Amino acid sequence: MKSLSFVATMIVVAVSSTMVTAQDRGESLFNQTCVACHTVGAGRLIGPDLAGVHTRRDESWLIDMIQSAQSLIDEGDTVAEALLTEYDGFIMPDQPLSVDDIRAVLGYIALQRGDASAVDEPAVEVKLTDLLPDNIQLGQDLFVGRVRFQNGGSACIACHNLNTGDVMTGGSLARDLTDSVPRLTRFGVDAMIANPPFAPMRVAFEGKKVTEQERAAIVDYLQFVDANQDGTEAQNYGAVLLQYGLVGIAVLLGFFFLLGQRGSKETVNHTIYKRQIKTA
Amino acid sequence: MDVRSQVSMLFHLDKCIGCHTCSIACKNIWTDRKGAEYMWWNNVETKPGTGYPTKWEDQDIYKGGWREEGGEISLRGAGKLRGLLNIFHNPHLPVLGDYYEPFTYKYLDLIESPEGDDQPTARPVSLITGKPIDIKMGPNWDDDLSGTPDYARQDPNLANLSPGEQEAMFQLEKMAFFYLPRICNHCLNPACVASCPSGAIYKRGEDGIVLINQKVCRAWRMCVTACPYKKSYYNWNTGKSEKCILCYPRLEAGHAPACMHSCVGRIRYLGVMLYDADRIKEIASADESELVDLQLEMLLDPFDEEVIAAAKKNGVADSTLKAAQRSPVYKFVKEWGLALPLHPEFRTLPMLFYVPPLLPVMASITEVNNTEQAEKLNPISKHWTDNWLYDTTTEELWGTIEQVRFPIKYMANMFSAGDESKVIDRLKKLMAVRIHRRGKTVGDIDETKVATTLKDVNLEADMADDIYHLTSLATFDDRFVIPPAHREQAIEMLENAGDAKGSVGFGFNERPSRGL
Repeated sequence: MKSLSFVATMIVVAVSSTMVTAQDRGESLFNQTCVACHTVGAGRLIGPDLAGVHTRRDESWLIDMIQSAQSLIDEGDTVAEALLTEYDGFIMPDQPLSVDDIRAVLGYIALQRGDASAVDEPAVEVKLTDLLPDNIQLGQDLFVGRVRFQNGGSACIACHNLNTGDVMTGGSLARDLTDSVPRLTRFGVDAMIANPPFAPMRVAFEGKKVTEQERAAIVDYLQFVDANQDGTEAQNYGAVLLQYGLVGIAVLLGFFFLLGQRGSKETVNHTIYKRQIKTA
Repeated sequence: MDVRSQVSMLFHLDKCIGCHTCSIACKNIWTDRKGAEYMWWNNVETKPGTGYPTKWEDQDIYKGGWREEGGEISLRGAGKLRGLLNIFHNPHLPVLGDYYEPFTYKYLDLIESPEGDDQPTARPVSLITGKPIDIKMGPNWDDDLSGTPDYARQDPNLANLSPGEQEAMFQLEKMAFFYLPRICNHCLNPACVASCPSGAIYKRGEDGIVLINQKVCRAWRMCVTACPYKKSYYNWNTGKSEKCILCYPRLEAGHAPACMHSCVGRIRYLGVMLYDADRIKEIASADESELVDLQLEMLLDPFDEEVIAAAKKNGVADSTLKAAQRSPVYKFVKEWGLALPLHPEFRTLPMLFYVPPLLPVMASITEVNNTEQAEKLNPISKHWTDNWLYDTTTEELWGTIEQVRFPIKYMANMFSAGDESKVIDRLKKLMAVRIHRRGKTVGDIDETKVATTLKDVNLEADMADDIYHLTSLATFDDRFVIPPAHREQAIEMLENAGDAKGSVGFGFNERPSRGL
């Protein structure tokens, strides 16, 4: 009798947990992948508010759009093209989600009560004067890697460039972040760091989540950088470095030439060899 | 007192006949390989002569060895700053032209040439390029004073000799020369070890043999420059430097090194010496006039209780101590004081000692009136007459020593950093033994004269007999007192001998590729 009740309990637990899992999956996927650019009922960010999207578009179009917006545009889909123009040519990155995953996400969106007509709260504007110098400095330190991320993620500069004289030239693997704040809004940048929507960045920060404080510092710094752009390009070291290099080579060659002048150039047996008669 | 043991060597130059058997034995065993053809780990030079490589003794050219400045020694051509400056381009490195381009002959042409009007010849070909060459030089181009004045007259040891003294050696029909066989000296203060940037050269703890680890050598070739005796050679094929290994595989098996084993004149002796390693730096930095005395002082008495205790504390095996007590080198160098190191002024504290040659000195000294002849020659020249007698006794006992065919200065330049008294001392002892033995065997010398002779050089009669015995009658076991190598203990430091317990045979160093 005891064992029977145990089995029954187990079944109940198992069933409920699978239900919970199905529901949770949509939510966790949304939070992982979508939340950086989209809200459900909280207004538009980088991408459109997704409240009621399941009623606006049909499911197969949504699946295509999420999996690869680029190919949808390439195919000449007018809706996608319209969206692209509306959102300043910022194309939605391809998401490595299966059809099932997407359905789970859509299911999650459908469950949300928010609707398109919800209050469109404008993002809180942070003024440049509100930024703390300490925070900006921390942001710069984190960006270039002088201060390590608490959870060990790699420094931003490894892949991103900033067009500013304060820091050295960054990587060209990912997008230049100089105007990221006006382009994506503070909230958008913060969300992108928290849940990177791009595969390489997501992999790079897997299990190395950037803390909230670190994100805030970086965003502050990025805003500061944007605001302090003076419109000129950062200094291009290319030609100068080449000149330095050439001068360096000349100095080294001269040094080695002088080194080579030491010692005798003839063998000890020189006079003997010179006198010897040679055949042919 | 840091007592260590060194397998030391002694070459008795009076006995060397210059047959080069040692060089050939060494070449056949060790350096008959591609890249090693020009290496002569053992070579025999005619003195006066420029040696191999040419003028190796002239450190103004090769910058080998140590130099002393204000009681501190530093390498002449290497060391920290100078070594770094020279590491990619060493201006003092001997080049192939300083040695010679090794060659062979196309012997097959003699056999396989088609029939023709001419006799086929075997053309010389380079062992480096394989192409026919003009032979320009060889390792003994000036053997037996052959060659032009470019050779023997360029001998660096002729420095400080008056033109007359120099000329005396080269008088036609009165030429005198002796042979100088050379191997690595396995020095106590080796410049090659000090110069190696890779740390590939080391002095073996148990017997002091200086070796180059072929796996660590990175071909910087600083040792080639640093060795003042030019006994480290660069193998252009393997890209590693090599040197005399004192046939350590033979030594460990209880055999004498190949050059010593094959020596026809039986000039070579090998035995253990104990020395005080604490004093190396102090002695190597000493004033030039004291170098020889201090080096001999550093060699310790193997019978001294204190020395034995300190040696044991240092892990010197009992068998090695026993070998040190029987060491013929110890007898020649320390007990009898007959030997000197080669070029002590290089400050490497060489552990190969030489008994300076007396033989070519001892031509006729007879009462002949040759004033007429003497007027034509310089005062150093010896006068040979038809009625000459091989006589070692003169009215003035040591007169012949002072007027030897080889100017004492010349030999002092080689063996005692220019100190003539040390060479004279050795030669007098050699001569005293001879006079003593002549008195004994021929009996034509007055006994009191023999006694004064021996007394003059602080030798006892039985001591002189011992010298005579070890010089002339010594057997293999007298000449080579090789300490047991105790390889079984050395191996246990590196691997667990128990691993092979119960196995068949000795196991494999490298397993056969096709399996067992």
